[in-house]
Amino acid sequence: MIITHLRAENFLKYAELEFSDLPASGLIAVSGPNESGKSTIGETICFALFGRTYSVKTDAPEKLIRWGQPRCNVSVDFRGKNDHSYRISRYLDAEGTQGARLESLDDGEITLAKGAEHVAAALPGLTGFDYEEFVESFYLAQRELTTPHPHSHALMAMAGIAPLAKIRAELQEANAQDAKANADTASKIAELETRIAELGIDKQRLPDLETTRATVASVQEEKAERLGLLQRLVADYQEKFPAACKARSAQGKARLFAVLFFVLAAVLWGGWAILTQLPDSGVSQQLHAWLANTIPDWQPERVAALLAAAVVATTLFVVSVAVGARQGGHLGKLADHAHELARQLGLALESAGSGIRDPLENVARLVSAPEPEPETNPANVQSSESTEASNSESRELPLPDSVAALRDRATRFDADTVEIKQAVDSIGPVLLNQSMTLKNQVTLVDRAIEEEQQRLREAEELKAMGDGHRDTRREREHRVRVRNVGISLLENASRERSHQFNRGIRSLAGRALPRFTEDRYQHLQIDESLSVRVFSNDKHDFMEFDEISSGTQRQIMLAVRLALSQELIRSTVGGAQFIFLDEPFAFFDEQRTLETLHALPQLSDELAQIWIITQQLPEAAQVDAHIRCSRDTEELRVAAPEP
Amino acid sequence: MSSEEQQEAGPSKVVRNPATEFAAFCAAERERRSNADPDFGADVFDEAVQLIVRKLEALNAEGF
Repeated sequence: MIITHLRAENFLKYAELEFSDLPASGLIAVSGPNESGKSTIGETICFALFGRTYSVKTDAPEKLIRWGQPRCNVSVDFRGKNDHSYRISRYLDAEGTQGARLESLDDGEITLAKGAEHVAAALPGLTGFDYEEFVESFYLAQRELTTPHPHSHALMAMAGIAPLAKIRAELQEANAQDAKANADTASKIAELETRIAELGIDKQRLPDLETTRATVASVQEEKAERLGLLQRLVADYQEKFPAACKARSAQGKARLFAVLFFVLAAVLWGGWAILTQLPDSGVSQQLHAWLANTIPDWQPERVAALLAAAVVATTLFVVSVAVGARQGGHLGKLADHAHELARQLGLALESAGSGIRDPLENVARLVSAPEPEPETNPANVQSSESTEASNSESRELPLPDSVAALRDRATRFDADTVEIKQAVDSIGPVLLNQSMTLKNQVTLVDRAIEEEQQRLREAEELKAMGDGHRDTRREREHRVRVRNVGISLLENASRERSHQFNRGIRSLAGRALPRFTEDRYQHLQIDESLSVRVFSNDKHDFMEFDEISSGTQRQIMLAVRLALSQELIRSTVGGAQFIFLDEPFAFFDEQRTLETLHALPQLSDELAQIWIITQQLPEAAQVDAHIRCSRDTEELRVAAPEP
Repeated sequence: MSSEEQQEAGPSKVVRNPATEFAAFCAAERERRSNADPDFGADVFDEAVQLIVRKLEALNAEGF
C-alpha cells in the first residue's frame, strides 16, 4: 500500500490538511517543533484507514474533531497491493456518528463499500493487514519503541501462525464440547442400561408363556369340545331313544312271528307231503282221521288246500324274518350313536377326572411372579377359587365303574335318558368349570404375553437408543482423535513456522543493525518470546538487551520493527508498502540519524514509502520529500512536496 | 458491493497461502511418521490434514 493523496478537514489540529502527488518511494520527512501537528499526520492516515487512532480511545472518537467544529472529514488515496488505486473516506460528527466509504479510482469513482463495518471488512483485502497488524508493524507511533507481545494476534499474523492458532483453538473448543457431550452420552447410556436391567428381561419367558398358552388353550378347547360333543350326543340319544325302543320291540315281534310261521309252515308242508306222497301209509291214514275229526267237512280231495296253507305260512315266515331284519338294521344304526355316546361319556369322565392342576401350576409359575397387579386380578382370584372348586367337583364325579355299566347299557339303549342325563349332569359342570377356568388362564397368559411383548419392545427401544448413543459416542471419539492429531500437527507447524519467522526476523534485523549502529553491533539472537540479545563487535560477545544504551536499544528495536514489517509484507501483504515512523530517532545522535536515514530506503524493496517524523532533520539528510509543520499553521496543503 | 467489485477487492492472503504451506508441512510429516512408526494411523492423519486444510481454505477465503 502506497499513499498517494491525503486530505483532512477539522481533524485534530488542522482545519485543512492536504498532501497530494506524494512520492511512491523514498523518504518523506515531516519535521517541526513540538505541537506543530507532525503526529497528527500519522493519526490522520490511521483514522482514514481504520476509523480509529493509536492515541485516542475508541470510546471517545469525537476528541478527534477539531475544537469547536461539528464534524471532521478525512480521506486517503492509495495504491493497493494489487497496484490498483483506491480512496477511503471517513467522516465523524460530534455525536460520534461515523461514516465511511471505499472507492475504486481506476475507472472513475466506483464505490466498493459503504459504512464503517463494510469498509473494515473490505479493506484488508486491498491492503493485506488490519489495525492490529498495522500498529505493530507499519505504524510506529510516538511512544516507547518495544517489541510486540509474542502471542499478540499481530505477531502471529506476521509469522503466519494466526490461522493455525485460530483453528487450533477451534479444535480444542470442539474437543471440549465433544468431551462434555460424551460425558452426557455416557450418563444417558448408563441410565438406559439401568432401565433395561430394571426391566429384568428373561428371553426364555416369552417362549415359555407362548408354549404354556398353547398348552392351556389346547386343554381348554379339548374340554369345551368334549363337553359340547357330549351334550349333542345326549340330545341325540334322547331323541333316538324312543325310536330305538320301538325298533327293538318291532324286531322282537317279528322274530316271534317268524318262529311261529316257521313251525306252522313246517307242519303244513309235512302233512301235505305225507298225504300226497305216502297216501297208503299208516301215518297218512291217521292224519286223515285226525283232520276229519278236527276240520268239519274234511275231504281227502282238500289236500290241495293244505298245500295252499303251507305256502301262506311260509310266506308269512319270510315276511316276519324280513321285518325283523329291517328293524335290526335300523336298531344297528341307532346303536352307532349310542356307542359314540358311551365312548364320549367315558372320555369326558376321564377328562374331567384328570383335573387342571398342571396347567394351572404352569400358569401360576409364569404369570404370578413378575409384577403384582395394583388392583385385585379377578383372573387370579378366579383361578385359585376355580382350582379348589375343580378339585371339589372332581371328588363328586360318578365312579368309573358305574359309568362303565351305564355306558354298556347305553350301547344297547337299555339306559334311559334320565340315567344318561344324570351322568352327564355330574360330569358336564366339572368340564365346563375346568374349561372356563382354563379360558380365564388363557386370558391371563395372553395379558402376560402382551405385557412381556411390550416389555421386550421397550427393552429393544432402550437398546436401540443405547446403540444410537454408543454410535454417536464412537463418532465423537473418532472426531476427537482426528482433532488431536490435527492439534498436534498445528502445534508442530506453528512451532516450525515460528522458528522460521524468528530466523527471518533475526536475518532481516541483522542486516539493518550494522547500518544503524555504524557496524558496532551486527548479530542478533531472538528467542521465541522475541527477547533480544545483540553481538557487540567491540566486546566480541553477545550482550543482554538491558546492558546496552537507550539509543542503541531503540536502534535495535527499530531494526526489529522494520524486520517485522518486512516479514508481514512477505507473509500477507505483498507489493510495495508505506511505513510511518513517528520520532524514531529520539535518542539518536546526528551521525547515527544520518546513517539510519541513509540506510532505511536500502533495506527493502517492499518498504518503499518511508514516512519519518522528526523534530529536526539534519541539514545533511537526503530525503525525497520534506513537509514542514508549524505550531501556528491550521491549514497545511502540500502538492508534490520537494526534498 | 457487486461481485465484480468484491473480486476487485480480493482476499488479502495472496502472498502466503497457509493451507498450501500446511499441506506441504503435513506431507513431509506424514512421510516422517510413516517411516518412524509402523503403527502410524495414516487414515486418521489424512482425515486430520483434510479437516485443517479445509478450515484454512475457508479462513483464507474469508480474508483472515
